[in-house]
Formats: sequence, structure tokens, C-alpha cells
Amino acid sequence: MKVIIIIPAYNEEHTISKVVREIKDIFPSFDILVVNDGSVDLTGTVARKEECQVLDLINNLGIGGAVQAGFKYAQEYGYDIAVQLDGDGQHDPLDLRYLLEPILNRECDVVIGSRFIKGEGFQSTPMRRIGIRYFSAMILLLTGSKISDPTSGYRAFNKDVIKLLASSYPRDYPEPEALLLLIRSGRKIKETPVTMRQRTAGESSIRETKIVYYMIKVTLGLIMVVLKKQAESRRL
Amino acid sequence: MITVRLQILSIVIALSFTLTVFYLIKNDKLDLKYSIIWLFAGLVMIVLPLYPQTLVFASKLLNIMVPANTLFLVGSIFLICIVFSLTVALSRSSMRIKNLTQEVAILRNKVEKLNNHSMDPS
Repeated sequence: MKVIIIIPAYNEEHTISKVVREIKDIFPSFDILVVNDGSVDLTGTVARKEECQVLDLINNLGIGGAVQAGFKYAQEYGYDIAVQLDGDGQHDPLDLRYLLEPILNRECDVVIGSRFIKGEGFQSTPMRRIGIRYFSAMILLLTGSKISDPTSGYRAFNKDVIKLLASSYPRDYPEPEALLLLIRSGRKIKETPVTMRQRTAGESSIRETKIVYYMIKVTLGLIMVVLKKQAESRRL
Repeated sequence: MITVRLQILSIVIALSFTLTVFYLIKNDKLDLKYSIIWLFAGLVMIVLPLYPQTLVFASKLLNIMVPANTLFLVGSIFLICIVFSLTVALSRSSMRIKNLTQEVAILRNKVEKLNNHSMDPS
């Protein structure tokens, strides 16, 4: 089983080597791909010194475009499992085994690391938790599936899903939308408890001031996924 | 009614606009695909001051009292259409740029791998 860890990184020169090393220490057989999303600092240079591959995006594409570049890479080199993990050190590599296990046992196609199942570790800010609950409720309403942490960026995907996401992945705030896309395409999703750490450096890709824009945008995105899918099934 | 002076001014502006569009297309500075609508607009701007009655006629047809308002209405609709079509074109372009950026990154990584490989003596 070829496993690749995709780490999207935008201006993470201070944390990226630590994140890569931490993973390599525990899982030396996994390949690591750092997607440097047009950083203006030395993220690319720092990452090259580590035992990993680096994709340098010449334009800043945002998290969606960066992660998709990782899926395209994973597809090109025939990886069986891809794990998406943040470059800021929020995600504990020790949890990787829990993310991989259900896919290795063929229990499901996608595993999401959720910080709310056990309620341990950093639980996000109250404002954000409201947003997360809202998306959770919306996905439940649209699909009947219960996902406790739909914005989590700690996820594992099997080969078939890598191929699907390489060809189409939402752009700006992709996590909830990608999830809905996968559920509606009939993929099996499982959540597993993970412990998130408070980020040591850098900023969230979603700032508090943008939260209203974020909510509206993702809501529309989710509705569009549903409409698109209906149009497609009607065509069949 | 429109004065001769305004008529001449309008036609001069419209003509120079249309010629500019022509000139830019000729020098490959403007894509023909996006310029046909502007050429059409230029044509309308030339014809309208020559036959101001068309505007009066159109206003009566639409029950608009002041012909100038018909002009504003048509102008606004035209501008909205242009801006909208540009947003569509922009979305398409940004999608293409995204795909190109990802492809370039993957190719660059491949070149890097090949270079490292050829430098490796083993």
C-alpha cells in the first residue's frame, strides 16, 4: 500500500520542517508531499531540506487548489491512500493510524479526523464551533449523514476518491463542500476521533472577519452541489 | 430635438471609438472574440445620432416619455450584459490558470527528480 501525506502550506516556514519530521519519525515508509501554495516566505526552501517532495505552486491558489494539486500528484504516481494534513502543526501525526485503519480494512472510502467525538484537545473558538455545527446540520439535512466535524482538514482518501477529487475539487473553502460531493456520489465516509493542537504559528485560512462571507459562500456551494448532482442524475 | 453640434460631437466620439477598436484588433491587442460586441456598440453609436428618430420611435413603443431615458435603459442593459459576460470569461480563465499552475508544479517536481537522479552517481 503506497501512502502519501499531502501537506498544503502557505507561509509555514517555521512549522513545516517539524511537521514533516514528526511524521517521518513515526511512519518512515509514508511519502510526504508539501504543496507550497505560492508562499512569500521560505516554506519551499525549508521543506526541500526535509525528506519529502515539494510542489511549488507559482500562483497562490488557496487551500482548495493546493490540496487538489496534491491529489493530482497522488493520482499520477499511483498512490493507494492519500492523507491531507495541515502544515501548521495542528494535526497530530500519531492519529494517522486511526485515519488509515478503516480504509485499509475496506470499511469506507474516506476517513475524517474529528476533534468533537472525544472532545479532547483544542476545540476551536466558540464562534467557529457555531459555524461548524451549522454545516453539520446542513449536511445532515441534505444527505441524512451525521458528520460532527465537516470543516476538519485532517482526512484520508482511498485510490478511487483520489481520482475523483483530482478531477474536481472545490476552491475557496473546500472542506464541507468536498464532503457533500463525496457523500452524494455514494462514497462511504467514516469519522474517527483525533486530538487537535492549537496552532503554534500562522493564521487560520478563515479569519473571524470573513466568517459571514465564509458561511454564505459555503452554504451556496453546498446547495449547488445538490443541484448539480440532481441535474446529472436526470441526464442519466 | 438634437442639435447639429451634439450630432457631430456624438458621431466624432463614436467614430474614434470604433476606429480604436479596429486598430487594437489589427495589432492583436484585442481578441476578436471579445470585440465583436464593442464593434456592434460603436455602430449603434454612429447610427443613432444620424437618425435620432429611431430613438423617438423606440421610446413611443415602450411608452417612455423622454427619449434620453430609452438611451439610458438600452445603455445600462448593454453594460450589464458586457460585465456579466466578462465575469463568465474570468471564471473560465481562473479555472484554466489553476489547472496550469498545478500542472507546472507537478512537472517542475518531475524535472527536479530527474536532475537529482542524474547527479546521483549510483
